Amino acid sequence: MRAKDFSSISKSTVLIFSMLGISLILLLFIIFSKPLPTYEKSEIFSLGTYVRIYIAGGKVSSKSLLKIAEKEIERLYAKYSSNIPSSVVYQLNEKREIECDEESLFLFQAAVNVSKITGDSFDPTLRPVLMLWGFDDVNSSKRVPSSYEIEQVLPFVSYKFIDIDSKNRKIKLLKEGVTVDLGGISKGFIVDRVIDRIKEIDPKATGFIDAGGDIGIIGPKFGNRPWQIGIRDPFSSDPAKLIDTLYIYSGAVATSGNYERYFIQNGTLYHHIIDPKTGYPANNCRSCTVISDKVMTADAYATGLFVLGIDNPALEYFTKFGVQAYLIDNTGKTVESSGFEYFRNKVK
Amino acid sequence: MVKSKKLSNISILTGIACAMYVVESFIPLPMPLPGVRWGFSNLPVLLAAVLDYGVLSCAMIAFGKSFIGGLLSGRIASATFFMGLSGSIASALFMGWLKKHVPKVGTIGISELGALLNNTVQILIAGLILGNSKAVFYYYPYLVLIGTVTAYLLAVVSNIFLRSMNHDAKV
Amino acid sequence: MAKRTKKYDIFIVAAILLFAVIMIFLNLLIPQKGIIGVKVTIDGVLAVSISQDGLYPVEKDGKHLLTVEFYQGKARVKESTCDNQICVKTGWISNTNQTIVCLPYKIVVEPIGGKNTDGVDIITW
Repeated sequence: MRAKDFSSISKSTVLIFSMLGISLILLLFIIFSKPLPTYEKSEIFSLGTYVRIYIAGGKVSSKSLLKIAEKEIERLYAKYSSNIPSSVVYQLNEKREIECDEESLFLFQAAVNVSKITGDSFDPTLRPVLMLWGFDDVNSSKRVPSSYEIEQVLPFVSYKFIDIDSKNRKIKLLKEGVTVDLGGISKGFIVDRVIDRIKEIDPKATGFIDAGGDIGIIGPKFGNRPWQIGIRDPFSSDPAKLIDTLYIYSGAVATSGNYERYFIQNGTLYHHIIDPKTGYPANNCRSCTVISDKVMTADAYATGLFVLGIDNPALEYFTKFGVQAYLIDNTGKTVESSGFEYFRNKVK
Repeated sequence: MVKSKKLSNISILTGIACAMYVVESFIPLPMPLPGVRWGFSNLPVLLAAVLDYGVLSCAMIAFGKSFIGGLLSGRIASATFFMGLSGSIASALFMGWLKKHVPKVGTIGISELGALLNNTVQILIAGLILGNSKAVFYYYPYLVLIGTVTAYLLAVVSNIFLRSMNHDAKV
Repeated sequence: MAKRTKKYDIFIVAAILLFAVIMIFLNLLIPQKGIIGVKVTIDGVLAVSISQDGLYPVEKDGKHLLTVEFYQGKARVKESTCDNQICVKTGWISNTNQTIVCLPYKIVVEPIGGKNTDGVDIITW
C-alpha cells in the first residue's frame, strides 16, 4: 500500500522537497559554522630589517589590517629612527632638548629603565661607539676602531645623561657630545604599538609580526593554537637550523645573536652587540633568547642579558620583570631562567 | 517532462549547487591547495545528468553554480574561479553526453568520469594561468584520488534520490 | 528494475584509482625534495619567478645585483655584489618557512610550493 501511495506523489515534488531539506541544512551550516581564518602575509623592508606580518582578521579583513600595520610601521619608524632628520631621536641629538608626546616619553623612560635594571648593559646613548664601529646603519662601512678612539667616546655613554621631565614632557641631554640611538628598543616598541593598534581595530585578529627575528604575537594561530617558534642554532651558518622550539600563544620572543650583524677582520669576528662599559663587542655569549609579554621588553633584555653574558648570577632576578631568558655561550653551554621550560611544552 | 517544470527543476538544482559551492569551501581538505575543493557541489550537476535533462541543462547548472557561487564567495574572476568554471562546465558536458550516448555506463561511472575530467581540466587551466606546471602536476594524482572518493559518494546519494523518486519505472 | 550500477562502473573506478596510484608512484620516484620554486622580489616587486633548475641573475636598472641558483628543490644566492654577503652565507634553502633576505638591496628569495618539513612557523634569531 505504502509503495503505491509513494509512487503516486509526483517525482518532482519529491525532488523539490528533498532539495529544500538539503538547502535548509546547508543554510544552517553556513550560519553556524565558523570557517578557519585565512592568513594574509606581507613583507616589508623597514625598521632597518626585514619585517614579516602574518595576520588574519576577526571582523576586519586581513588585507586591510595588513595595510594598516604597514603604514603604522613606516610612520613609527620615521618617528624613532636615529637616521631620519624628522625623527624625535634625530631632533633630540641636534637640539639637545625637545618637547615630545607621551608615547616618546614612555619609550625613553622604558629605555632608561632597562639600562638601570641591567646595570648599564643596555644603553640608549651608545650611538657614538656604534658609529665608530659602523653598526649604526646597514650601509655604513665597518671597521675596528683603535682603543684610543673608543676611550675618547666612552665618557659620553651613560643613560644618566638623559633627563626625562615627564611633567613638562621634556627630554634633555645633559652632556655635550652625548647622542641617543634607540635602535635596541624602538624596533620592539614599534611592533608592540602596531599590535596594539591592530587589536584596537579588531580585537579578534590573530597572527604575528616578525621584525628580523623579534617576534610579537597578535593572537594564537587560528585563535586557539600556539605559534611554533624555532630558535636558530647560533653555531650553524644555515639560518633555518634550529636548536630549540617554543610554543607561544601570546606575548613576544626576541633573540640577540652575534651572527646578526658582524664583520670579520684579521680572522676575528666583530659583532654589533657592544658592551657599553668597554666599547667592544660582548663576548661572553653567542645567542640570547628572551620571552616576555611585550616585544620591547624582550628586545631590550635580549641585548642587555647578552652583554651580561652566560655567567650572570642574577639571571633569575630578571624574571621579576616578566622576562624569561635562554643563553648559549661560545662553547655551546646553555643557561636558562626557571620559567623558560614552560614554553617548550606544546600542551599547556 | 513539461518544459516549464524542467526549467524550474534546473533552477532549483542550480540554487542548491550554489549553496553547496559556498559551504564546501569551509570543509578543510587533507592538503592545503589553493582553489582545490571537494567537489560536493557537483551533486546537482550529476543529478541533472542521470535524470537525463540533457547536455545543455547540465552545463547551465555548472555555469550557474560557478558564477553565482563565485559571486557569493568573492572569488569571482580570480585564477581559482576560472579553474573551477572551466572544470565543472567540461565535466557537466561530458556527464550529460555519457548519459545520452553511452548506456553501458551507470551512475557511478558517470560521476567518476565527470570528476576525473573536472580535475584534469582544472589542473590544465591552473598550469596555464600559474605557469608553474611542475608544482601543479605534483598534486594532480592526489586530486584525482579525492575526486574519486567524492564522486563515489555523490553517485551513491544520486542513486538514493533516483530510488526515492521511483525513477526506475522510466529507465 | 534497471540496474543503476553497471558492470562498466567498476572498471571505470578501478581504472581511475589505478591511474592515480601510478601517478603518485611516478611522483615519488622523481625525487621531489624541498621546494618547487622560488620567487625573487625587490622591495616587494616581483623580479623573477623560478621553477626550473638553473642560474638566474637579478638586475635592477641595468645594475647586476645578485645571482639566484635553483637546483633540485633547493635555492640559494650564488653570489651577490652587496656589502655584507649575508644572503650568500645563508646558503641553500629547501623548506617553505625559509627565506633568503638581502637587506642592502631589499631582495627576498621566497619559496613557492613544497612542504614545511620542520613544522616551525617562525624563527627567532
